[in-house]
Amino acid sequence: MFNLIKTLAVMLFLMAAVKLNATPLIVATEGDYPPFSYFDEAGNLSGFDVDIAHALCEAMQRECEVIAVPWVDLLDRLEAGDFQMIVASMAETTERKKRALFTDYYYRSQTSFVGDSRRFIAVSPDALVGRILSAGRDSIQADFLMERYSSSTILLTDNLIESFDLLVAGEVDLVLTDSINSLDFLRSTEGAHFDFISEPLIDPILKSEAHIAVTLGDIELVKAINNAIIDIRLSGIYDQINRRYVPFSIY
Amino acid sequence: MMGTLKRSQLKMSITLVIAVVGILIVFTIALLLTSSLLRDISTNSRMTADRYLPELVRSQQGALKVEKIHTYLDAAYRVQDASEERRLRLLLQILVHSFMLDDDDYLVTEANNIMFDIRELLYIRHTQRQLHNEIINILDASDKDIDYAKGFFSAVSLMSIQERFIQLPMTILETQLPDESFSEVLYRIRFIIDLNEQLNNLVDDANQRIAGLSNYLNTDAALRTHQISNEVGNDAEKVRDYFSMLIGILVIFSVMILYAFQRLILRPVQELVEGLRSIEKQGDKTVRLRPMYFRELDVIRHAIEEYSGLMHRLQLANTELERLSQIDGLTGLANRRSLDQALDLEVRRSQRYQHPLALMMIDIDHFKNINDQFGHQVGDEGLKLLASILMQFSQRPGELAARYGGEEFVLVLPEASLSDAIEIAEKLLDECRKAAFPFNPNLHFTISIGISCYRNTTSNTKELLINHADQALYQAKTAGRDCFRIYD
Repeated sequence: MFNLIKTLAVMLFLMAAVKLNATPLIVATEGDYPPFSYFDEAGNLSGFDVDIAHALCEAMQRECEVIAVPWVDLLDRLEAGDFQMIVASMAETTERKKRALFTDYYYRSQTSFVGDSRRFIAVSPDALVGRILSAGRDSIQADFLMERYSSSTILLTDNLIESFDLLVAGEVDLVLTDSINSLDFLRSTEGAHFDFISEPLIDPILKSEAHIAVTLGDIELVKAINNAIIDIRLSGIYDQINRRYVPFSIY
Repeated sequence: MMGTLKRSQLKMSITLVIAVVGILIVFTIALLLTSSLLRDISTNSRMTADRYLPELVRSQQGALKVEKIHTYLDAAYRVQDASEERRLRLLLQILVHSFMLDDDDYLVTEANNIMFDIRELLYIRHTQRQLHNEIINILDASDKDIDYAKGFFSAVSLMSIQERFIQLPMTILETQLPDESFSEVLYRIRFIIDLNEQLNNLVDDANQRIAGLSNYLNTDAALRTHQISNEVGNDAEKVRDYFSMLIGILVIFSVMILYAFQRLILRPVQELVEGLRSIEKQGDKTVRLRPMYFRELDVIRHAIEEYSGLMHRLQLANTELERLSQIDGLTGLANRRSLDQALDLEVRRSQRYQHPLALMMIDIDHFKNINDQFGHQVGDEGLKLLASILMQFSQRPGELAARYGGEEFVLVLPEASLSDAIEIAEKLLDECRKAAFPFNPNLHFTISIGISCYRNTTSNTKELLINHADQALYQAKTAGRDCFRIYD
C-alpha cells in the first residue's frame, strides 16, 4: 500500500516536472520598436522588453522562448494560442482587456509628437489642421489621433520604424509615439533634424503604463509574473536592464 | 443526627463541568477577540506599508532622477559639441517630463521650471555659438597678422570668453584690425560675455530649483518613513497591550480557580479528614462538622458524623459490657472473676511491701431454711441485704466485697491486721443481727465468718488465703454459727 502511494507520488512529481520543463513558455514581442525590441547588427532580437521577458522567466523558473511578432498580429495570435504572454510595451485598454489579461505595469513613459521643430511649435488639434500625422496601427496613439485630430490626415503604419521613415522622407509632418521610442530615433543620424514638439501629451486615451498581456483565463501566470516583476525590481536586475537602454529609471 | 441545615447545594461534578466549560468559553472569547484585534492590527500595518511604501519608493526614485537632472544640466552647461548637447537635452527633456507621471503638482511645476531654464540655457548657447562663428568669420576675412587671435578665438570655449582671459588677444586685435571690424568683434565679444553672465544666473537658478526639489523629495521620504515607523510602532504597542490584557485575564482566572479550589474543595476535604481522625478521641461528644458547599462532600460529612455517632454508641456499650462482666448480677457486688483479679493484686502488693492483708469468708446461716420456708425471692432479698451491709464495710480504697458463690461472700481487707479483722468481724456480725428484711421486718439472719490473714510462710497465695478462710468458716459453723473463727 505504502509502496503504491510512493510510486504514485514519484510519478506525479515526474509528470509535473516533465510538464514544467517540456513546455517552455513562448513570449512574444514586437521587434520593430527600439529601444524596447529590435534586431541588433548581428540580427539578434534584443531590447528592453526582450531582456525583461528573459529576466521574468528566470525569476519564475520557467524556460522561455522569445519570438518577434508583428504588432498588429500580437493579440490575434495570443488568442490563437501561439504564445502565452506578450511583452511588447502594451498599454491596458478596455478593448484589449476583452482579449487578454494584463499584469501590473513594468515601465512608464509618455507620448509626444516628433517632427521638425523649426516648422512646428504648437500641437493642438487646431494648429495641426490639414497636417499629416502618423502613428502605429492599433496603438493608443492611433486611437488618440483618430479621436482628437479628426481635421488632420492620419496615416497609420504597421510599426514605428515605417512612421519615422515617412517623417524623414517628408511624407508625414509629425509622428506620435512613446517618448523613449522617439529618443532612439532622435539620437540617430536620420533623426538629427527632428525634435520633440511641445510638452508630452496628457489625455485619458494615452496611458502611460506598459503591461504584460497574458492568455485570457491564465490567472496563475498573471500572479507569477506580478511576483516576478517585484522579484527583479528587488534584486536589481530590472535596474541593470533599465540602464542598458535608458540612463534613468523608467519604472 | 444529620445536619438539618437546609441550603441549596451544588453537585461538585456538575459544578466542575460548568466551571471547565465556562473557562473554555471565556478563553475562547478572549482568544477570538485578541486574534481578531491582532488580525485588524496586522491588516492595518500592511495597509500602512501598502500606502506609504510605494510613495517612499517613488520619492526615492524622484530623488535619484533629480540627481541625474543635476548631472545632465552640468554636462549640458560644459559641453562644447552641439550634437552632444542635443543628446543631453533630449535625455533631460524625457527625464524632466517623467515627473509628470506622478500626481504631484509641486513636482510638475518645478520640473517645468527647470525645463524652462534648460531651454533658455540652450537658446543662449545657440546664440553664443552663432556670435562665436561670426567672430571667427570676421577674423578669417581679415588679412592682418592676427594668427594668435584667430587661434585663440577658435580654440577658446564659450565659457572662457570673459574679460580677464581675453585681454591679450583683444589688444592685438585693437592694434591690428581696422576700427570698424574691431568694433564688430568687440560688440560680439561683449554680447557673449553678457550671455555668459546670464547663463551663470540661469544655471544657478536651475541648480537652486534642483536643490529645492531634492530637498522636497528627501524630506518627503523622511516624513513617510517617520509616518510608517510611527504607525507600525503604534500598532506594535497595541499588540503588546492586547497581549498583556490576555495574560492578565489568564492570571486572574488562574488565581480565582486556585482560590475556589482551595476554598471549596481542598479545605473542606482537610476538615473531613480532621473530623475522621477526631472520632478516635471524641469522648462523650460526637463529632460535628460544618455543612459543605458541594453535595458530594456533604454526603461524606454526613457519613463521618453518622460514623462518629455509631462509634459513640459502641463505646457506651463497651463500657457497659465491661462493667457487667465484673459485677454479680443479683447483688451488685464484685463477682468471682473480679475478686480473683483484685485478690491477685492485693496478695502481690502484700508480698512486695510486707503489708497486712485479711480475707473474710462469710456465709449466711441456715440459708437453705430461709429459702425453703419463705421462698427463693426472700432468700434473694437476704443475699441483697447482706450485700448492702458488706458494701458499707468495703468503702476504703482496695477494700472489696464480692459474692463468692451461692450464699457465700468474701471481704478483702488490705492493710487490716488480725486485730483490725477481729474488730471488723464483730461489727459485721452485729450489723447482720440488727438487719431486717425489707418486706419481712420480723425475719432476721445471722452469719458465720472465717478469717485468714496473709503470712509469709503459710498463707502466701490467693488460693491458700481462700482455702484457709474456708477452713476457718467451717470451724465457725461447727462452733454453732453466728460467730467468727481465725485460721491458725
